[in-house]
Amino acid sequence: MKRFDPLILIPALFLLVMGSLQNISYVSGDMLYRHLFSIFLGFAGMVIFAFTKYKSFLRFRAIVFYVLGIILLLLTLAAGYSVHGSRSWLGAGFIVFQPSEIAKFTTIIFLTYYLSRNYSSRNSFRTILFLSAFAALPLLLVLKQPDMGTGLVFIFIWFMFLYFSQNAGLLVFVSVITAIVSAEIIFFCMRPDAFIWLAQMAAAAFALVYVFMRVLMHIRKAHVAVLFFFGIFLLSAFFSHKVAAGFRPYQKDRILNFVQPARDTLHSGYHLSQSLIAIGSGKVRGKGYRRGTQARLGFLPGKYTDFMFASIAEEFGFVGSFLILLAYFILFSRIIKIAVMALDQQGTFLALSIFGVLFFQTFLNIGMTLGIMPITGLPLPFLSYGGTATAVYLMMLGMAMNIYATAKGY
Amino acid sequence: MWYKDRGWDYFIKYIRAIQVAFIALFLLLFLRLFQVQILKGFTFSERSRDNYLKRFIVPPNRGRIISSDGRTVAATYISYDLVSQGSLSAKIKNDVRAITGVSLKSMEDSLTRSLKKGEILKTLIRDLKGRPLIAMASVINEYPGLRIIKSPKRFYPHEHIFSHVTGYLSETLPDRARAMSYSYPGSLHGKSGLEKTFDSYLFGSPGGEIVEVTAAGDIIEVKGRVLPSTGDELSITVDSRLQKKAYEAFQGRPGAAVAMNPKTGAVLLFVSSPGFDPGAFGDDAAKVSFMMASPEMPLVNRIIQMKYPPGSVFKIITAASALNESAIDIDKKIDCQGIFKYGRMDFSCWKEKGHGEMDFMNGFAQSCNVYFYNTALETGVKNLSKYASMMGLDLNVLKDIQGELPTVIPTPAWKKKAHKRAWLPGDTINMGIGQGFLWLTPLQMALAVAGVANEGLIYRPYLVERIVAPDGRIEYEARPEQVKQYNLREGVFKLLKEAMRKVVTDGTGRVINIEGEEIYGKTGTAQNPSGDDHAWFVSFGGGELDDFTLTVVLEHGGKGAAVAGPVSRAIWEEYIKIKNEKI
Repeated sequence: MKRFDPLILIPALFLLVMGSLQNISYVSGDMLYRHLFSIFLGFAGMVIFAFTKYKSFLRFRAIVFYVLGIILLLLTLAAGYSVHGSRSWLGAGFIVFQPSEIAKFTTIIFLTYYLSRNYSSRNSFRTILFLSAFAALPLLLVLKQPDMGTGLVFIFIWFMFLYFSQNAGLLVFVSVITAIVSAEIIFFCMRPDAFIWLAQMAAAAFALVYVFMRVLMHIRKAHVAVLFFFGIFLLSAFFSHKVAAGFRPYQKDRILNFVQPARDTLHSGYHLSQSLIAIGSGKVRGKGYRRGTQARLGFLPGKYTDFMFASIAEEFGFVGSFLILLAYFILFSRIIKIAVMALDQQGTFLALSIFGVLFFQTFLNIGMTLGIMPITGLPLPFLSYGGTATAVYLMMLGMAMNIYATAKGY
Repeated sequence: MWYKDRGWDYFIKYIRAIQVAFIALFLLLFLRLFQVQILKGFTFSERSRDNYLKRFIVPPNRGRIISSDGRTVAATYISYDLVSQGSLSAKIKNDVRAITGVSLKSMEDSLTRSLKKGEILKTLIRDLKGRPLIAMASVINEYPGLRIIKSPKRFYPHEHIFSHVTGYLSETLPDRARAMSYSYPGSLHGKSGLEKTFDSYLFGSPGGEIVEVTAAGDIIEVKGRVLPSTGDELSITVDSRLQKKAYEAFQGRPGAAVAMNPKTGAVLLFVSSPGFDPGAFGDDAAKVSFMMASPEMPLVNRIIQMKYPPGSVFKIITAASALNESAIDIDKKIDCQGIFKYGRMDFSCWKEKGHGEMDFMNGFAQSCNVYFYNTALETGVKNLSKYASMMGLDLNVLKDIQGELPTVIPTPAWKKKAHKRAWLPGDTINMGIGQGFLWLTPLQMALAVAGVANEGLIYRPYLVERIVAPDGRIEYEARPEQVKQYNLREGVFKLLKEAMRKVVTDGTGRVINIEGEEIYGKTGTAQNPSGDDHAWFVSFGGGELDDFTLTVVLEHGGKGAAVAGPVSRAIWEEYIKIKNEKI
């Protein structure tokens, strides 16, 4: 029993109980049974992962898992069915699941396997290319659904493994490109037809820089550097322009609402404004279980999915939401601690990436309900309705417990 | 620690960096949560309450207005509106159309209007009546989103006849500061007439319901309810039979008639023609502006908002001042040849051939201009102005209906100031027969006539006799109030009345000579620079009829006797009939 690290088990149980309390009151029938059954399944999986040496997954089995995840994602695109415009679900009848959640787990296992096997050549072009390709494959399949939120998680997974490969220069380059591309995407959301305008402005700016470098600083080969960076800028602008043009109106609205929060309270900003009202009106002690007016009377959208945190904060107040944050904090701190304690590189990578996936979603989701992050359709681990996610995250915790137990020598 | 064993001490830094970022971001979440829930909790609580608690008004029934003979002049009836509490499916709308026969388009229009006003109960069909109402009411329980609510509507059974007594309603507040306390968005208030002046009595107090609603607008629960209370009932002094007779006598011609009891100031008749149907306006602003633009100006209350030159009716004042100041010898005869020469100017009499030899009695009865040109010159402008003012021609004392126009009695000083010209003897001559600078409202003339009838006592005219609250409590009761008192020398009133009696028995006003009744009068034909003459007829009764004075004006009507006379006679006959019925 010592394998079940209490600092993981207790916060997770607390979160699951809070989430279930809300889910029981919001959904019923098959929808509820499916969720409760998934929690049971998740616990079973957690026990299995806690008792199976994590090393055993980092062999040939990792490849099998990864391929299985990809096949499931392909199947989803081919035969899945869609809810709210995203083709993300697979299955029929009572058994329905979200392959993208499973792929999160299989991907981090496989990337750990790949990176630790090729760690000595981690700076080589080949390794980085393969690592990136393995990360990009599920990402592209998820974006095809299209599920932007989950896509973000896969991008984050890719970043994490670049980080683990300790390639600082590459990371800086990727970060700068990412920053430029995000800025350009935001720009093109605001002014969809301004590509030529932006190119002209950039040309003028780079020409100025060229004159500056050539005349004032006497750099001879200034044109090489200027043309190189101008090329990169144009390329990224072209890419961003295409991405922004491919956004659906609501996606553009989400991005713009985050940049300008007071843009449109009644329409596209409605979610955020109602979420803040729900959380704020909970005040210290909350309105009481099942007595949240924002959630129960239909003002808060996604009350048991994306905005679960807001509906809990409304009914349980600062006391409740503080305890929720505290539980996450203890849980995540513990997983980082496990990464430090791990007996080998794979253990550390696995624990850190489990932490990364869970923390990234938690921060983005709660940050979104509190208006400090843009609105993305990401579930809140252990609280939001959604069986596959809950089961998979519980299994991840099981694996973290196994790394802990192995380190402790149990 | 595998990384130490492999000499990778620095890898711990990679983990620590993650840990620091994690703690910093979580701290951010904690702080933001604290800010939203603790610091801004109160604000967000209010906003959440605004979201789900809605208050809607249950309009009160406006109080009735009742004429002195007990007829309803303005009332409130209950109309039934079909409203929806939340979102409506196309199926429900189709069902409603099938049941009531009201077109989908008109329902949509009505819903849009309600949405614009931000009403919680969105009106689907206004004023549902008869079979559709019964049909809808019988199945209303099958549609939880629909309700039939009572909605009071103002109703004026006499339509045009009392329009300038009651006035009309609009969404504008009559007196912003005062009305704020009881008005609500969309409430209707008096825009003119008694409806305006007594708005705060008539309005009543609105009730309300506080309801819990869902985001879709469906009502979950009624949290509180206050019943509306009906407004006070106004009993007015105007007699509906008299009013009706008078209004009909005008036959739509523009003019005004006002009758008062000179001994109290009670207004028995208050007609401004043409009138309008105050009930037809509803809340339709387009209709109001159409009325406003009409050349007949039906919205103008001619009794108090239109000024006319008094014409020969002013001879009462000229006569009174001359007699009281002993400016003339009543027996001295003046020869009227149809023209009066003063300096190089000619002033004509209305009778071109002339009246011949005229003493005071005959000059007054025949309304001989030449006689009064003389009298005016003898009396002087100073006295004419003094008596015009003294006898009440410039009074603005009506409180019950607002909007009276003020009148300035012309004097030499006034002319100098207003026209930058000196007062000429010709002005005095004209003023003596009521032409020139003096313009006044019919009500002001009526007050002066009441003063003569009452021998120098003028009472404030009033229309509201009593205001009674729904519980029977008397909120207000009119009390006769003197606004003017003047004395003339012994015998002057007697002489004046004798002359006015002669007008009726033997002069220009024979048209109202009703056998066996003691009626005094004076006709007037006021020339006016634009268009036909205005016809005046003032009269009052004596003996049994000493409680009635009547002033009639017909705008551009022509000769006073010929045009205003028959109208006056019709009113007198009706009054006598009513009086006899009472006995």
